[in-house]
This record gives sequence, C-alpha cells and structure tokens, in this order.
Amino acid sequence: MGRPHIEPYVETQVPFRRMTLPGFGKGMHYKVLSMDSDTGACSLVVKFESGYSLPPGMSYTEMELYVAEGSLQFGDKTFETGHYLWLPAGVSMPAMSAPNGARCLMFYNHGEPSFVESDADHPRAERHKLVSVNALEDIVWGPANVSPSVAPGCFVKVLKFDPLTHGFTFLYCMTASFWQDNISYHDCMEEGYHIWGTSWMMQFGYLPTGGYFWRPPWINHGAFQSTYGCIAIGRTDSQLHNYFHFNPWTTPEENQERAAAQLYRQKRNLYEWIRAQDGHNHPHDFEHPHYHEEVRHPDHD
Amino acid sequence: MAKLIEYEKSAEAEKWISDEGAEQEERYNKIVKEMDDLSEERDVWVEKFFGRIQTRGFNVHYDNRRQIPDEELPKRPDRPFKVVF
Repeated sequence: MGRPHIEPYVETQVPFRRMTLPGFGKGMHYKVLSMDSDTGACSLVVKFESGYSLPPGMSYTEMELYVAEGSLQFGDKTFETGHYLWLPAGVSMPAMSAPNGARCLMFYNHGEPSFVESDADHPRAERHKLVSVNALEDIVWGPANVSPSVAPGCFVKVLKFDPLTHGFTFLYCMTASFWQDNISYHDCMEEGYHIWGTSWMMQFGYLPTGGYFWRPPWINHGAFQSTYGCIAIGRTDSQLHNYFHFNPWTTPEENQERAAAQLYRQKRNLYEWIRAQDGHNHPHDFEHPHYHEEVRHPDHD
Repeated sequence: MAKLIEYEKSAEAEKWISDEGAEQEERYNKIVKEMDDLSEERDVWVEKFFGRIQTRGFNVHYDNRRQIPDEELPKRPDRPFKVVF
C-alpha cells in the first residue's frame, strides 16, 4: 500500500529500538518515521552508540543520511553535525564509526535498511552520483525558487536534486515571525522533519523539534506560521509546485481535478497532447529513452 | 540508474517489515484520532484565517497578497472535515 499519510508525528517521546536487521551489528538504534509496507523503504531516526563501528560496505537501496547531532567517521573523513550524504545503491563506503556517538536521519528509498560488507562497489553502482556535503557550513540559504512562491522568510538549501524528476532533498527554515496565509497542496509527495524549532499549520497544529510528516500528493496544508523560527529537512519525489488556495475543506480528489485544470490553462498544448483521445500517449524522451525504468516514485510504484 | 540493486529479502527483513508495518498502522490510527480531537480548535483557526485573508490578504505569490471579498469565501460542505487521508 505504499506509505500512509503520517502527519503530524512527533518522535521525541517514543523510545529507540535496537536495530536487528542483518549486517548492522550492535549499537545502532532506530525509530521508524514512516515506511512503505510493501518494500520496506523507510525514513528513520537513528542513534549510534559511542564506539559503534561497521566494516566497509554498501546498501542495496540508495540511502540518504543527515547527521543531526554528533559526528561519524568514514575512513579518514569526518561527517560533522549537518553533514548530508546521498549514497547511490551499491556504492561501497569505507569503514564507519561513531567514536562519540551520533544521532542521524536515514532514508532508505527503495527497500528496507540493508548493509552488505564489501570494500568494492557493486557492478551496477553509480559512484559518480554520490553527494557528500556539510549542509550547515558549505551551502548558503537561498529563497525557495518556485512560482508561485512561499512567503518571504522561508529559505532553502538544496542538498540533492534529481534532474529527471526534479525531486529534491533540502533544508528549509522559517525565520521568526513567519506567516503564510494560504493553503497549499502539491502533485508530489512531501516529507519533512523538524531538526529544531516549531512551526504551525492550520490542519495539524504545532510541529515541534522532532516533528515529522510524510504527506502523499494533493493533501491540504497551511496556513503556516512560526513564532521563533525552525529548521527542517525536506524531500519530494518530483517537482514541487505550490497549488495555493483558501478553501480548507477541499478533498484530495477535488485538489487533483483543480491541478489538472491549472495544467490545461497553463500548459495547454502539452495537456491536449497528453490527453490523447485514442489511448494513452507514451512520450519518448530523446535524452532519457529508458526513463520509465529509471524513475521510481516511492508513492506510485 | 540503479536506485535499487535486486536482491532476495531475508526472512528477518520480511518479519521486520511486517512488524514495523503493524506498528505504523497503529501510529496512523492514533494520528487520525488526535487530528479528530483537534477539530474544534481547528474550526477557530479557520475562522481566524478567513479574517486574515480578508484584511491582511491571501498570499498569492511571495509577498503578493490579495484581500478576499466576502462573496469569495468558501461555504463549509456538509461532510466531515478530514485532514488526514
């Protein structure tokens, strides 16, 4: 059934559980934020005990890691607080350790958490796509570069951008006294975790530090407010478009219809072509002829 | 692009997914209840929202705002107000 709508969920009062899946050894503890119960793909808060270590190895699924607290050692490299890693499936990482412990967010995008000891990449691994950056120190905050845009006072750091789907992983912050008086929905899934601070949404109330959501497409959220500001990590599975309105009572089905009507108005030629009367179109992309195989949406596959 | 390298799921993995899936279902039901319990407060928030978009304005794009006239305000439909789907 994919992932259900988990919103809001505050993990801070929930105890960690010992990781028992094969390969991870002792000293790793986790909380599931959301999970696809068909594939095991999941978003986790993870605590590594002081002294935890793993040999060199890889994951069968692509994985994203954000160090929320403490630091991790990968070979001779130290990932300090704020470090973001996007690890393509099958890419071998050097031996890992957490000398003083760490608290991380880990996103296993297409299967359950897996770790296979290996000091070489899998033949299908795409190492050139690996992203490793300290998001707090090495990327600057910029305005959310979408139209229509969120209100002034919401800033973004893009950590990973998929050129095929325009899905992205990002840090976002709301500055103190942020207000946005509209209701939004998207045609993509959106996920967020509050690293620090509290925000408010008209549907769900207050989301504090440790607050989380996994929101399927078409679901209303907003108006938005933050008194003292917040910083969060967010993800989408395709391009994030803001469909703004002010009717709090619309259903996902009505929102979907309205989005299609907007597509008709704003990209009419494309809409007419896609809406083939004689059956489904099968658009060919001369740049990416195999994109149907390459693009896997967690919520749609 | 290999986002997932095909492999055979272990019995431990199958059990883990099944156990966590059952817990997630409980978590989802708890969220639905908590959001139902918030209904009265949410109705007040909606009224205040309508007040703000009629005075300060509705955020159309970034700092562009539009004041919404009375006749454009939506009427509450005769169905439960769900926020979790």
